Amino acid sequence: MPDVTIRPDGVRVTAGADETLLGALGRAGLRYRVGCRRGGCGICKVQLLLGEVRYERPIAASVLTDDEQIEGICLSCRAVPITNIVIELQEGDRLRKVLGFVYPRVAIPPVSVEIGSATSPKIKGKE
Amino acid sequence: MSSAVIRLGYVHLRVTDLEEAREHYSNTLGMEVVEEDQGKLYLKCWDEWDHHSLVLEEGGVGLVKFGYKVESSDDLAIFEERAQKFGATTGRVSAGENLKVGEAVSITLPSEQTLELYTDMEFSGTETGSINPEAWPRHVRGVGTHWIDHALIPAEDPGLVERFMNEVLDFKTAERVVESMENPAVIGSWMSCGESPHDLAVIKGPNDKLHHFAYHLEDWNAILRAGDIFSMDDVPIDIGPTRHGITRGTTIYFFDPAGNRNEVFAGLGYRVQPDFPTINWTVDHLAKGIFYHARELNDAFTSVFT
Repeated sequence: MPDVTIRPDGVRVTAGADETLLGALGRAGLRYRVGCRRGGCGICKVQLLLGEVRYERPIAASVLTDDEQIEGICLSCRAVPITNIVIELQEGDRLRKVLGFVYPRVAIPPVSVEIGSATSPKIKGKE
Repeated sequence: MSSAVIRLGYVHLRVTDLEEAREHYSNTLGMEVVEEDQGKLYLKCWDEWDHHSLVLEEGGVGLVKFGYKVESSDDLAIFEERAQKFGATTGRVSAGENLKVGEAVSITLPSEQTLELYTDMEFSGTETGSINPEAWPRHVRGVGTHWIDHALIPAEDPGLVERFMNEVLDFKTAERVVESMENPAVIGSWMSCGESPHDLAVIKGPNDKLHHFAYHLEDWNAILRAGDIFSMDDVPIDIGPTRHGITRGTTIYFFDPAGNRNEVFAGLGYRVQPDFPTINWTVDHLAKGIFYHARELNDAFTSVFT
């Protein structure tokens, strides 16, 4: 199960099999800026700093451009991590915690971040 | 003067996955797939009498075009000439080029979306028919949407689009959002071609995009039930169930599987008669005008377009 670390907060969650970034963060009670949650608007883009993700569904080129992919930007409502990854939210966005009483260990601010087995960013499977 | 434009007749939409879209529009919303042709799906609601009201095409997201039905071919020619005089690019679409649709005039709006005017579409009748009909069909699936009601498009210059719709297509502005009553720069406009509070609305935003298109439902109870079905089918809800201050409609905004925003909308808040006094909202009351209960806009309302 790949770990997802969110910078700069340093919060880490574990994604389930075939779970998207949005799904994994949402399940841990972490909120950030999202739009349609269906890959159509591009509002939930995040920067992939380390690791690899894949897309199981077609992504419209008008939503995520090739240039953006080369820069390591990924569409978090559709991207499924396939290694441990490190992401950074968009400038001006921040994590909000709505399940702090259930998951007190998903702490903001965090302990130090370990990258573990993550590799440099790669994105697979986009049409 | 009322407009010779009758209604929003069809929406032609891009979706990233045709089969997911079929599931959403057919089983969740309850439209009927009436035809599949060259990779496109044609669907209609049970209460609609023309051949289709939605065309789905795989590849990308967003609006290909929308069609408004007009009364006669004379009206087509008049609207075409007025659009050209206004400075818009127009073209003719031959009968049959749009499946089951007659000759059309294609207009590029000042906000770059393509609007087509047509007079004929093959008649297929409603599910309940026109002779001694039952109130509704028993077999309808999911939400059971009645008909496609209106669309909201973003525009860099909403005032220009309002003027185009007023002057070229005789749409009447029912409600408008302005900077202030002293500085009446248009932020948004809700315009009617009949007596419904809006058949097309425009709001400040990027050109050549879609904000949403909406389905009519019977009442507030039907809106609540639609929300229940969206939870059952894991459809992401943008906002609602709630009420719009503007139009007084009750509503849920939600997203199709490609991220295009849909709405279910109920309540004919009032009738836009020829002497209806246009309602103005000032921008400091915009949030209450859009979401009457929350009284604040969510991020998505002003940022999510396809």
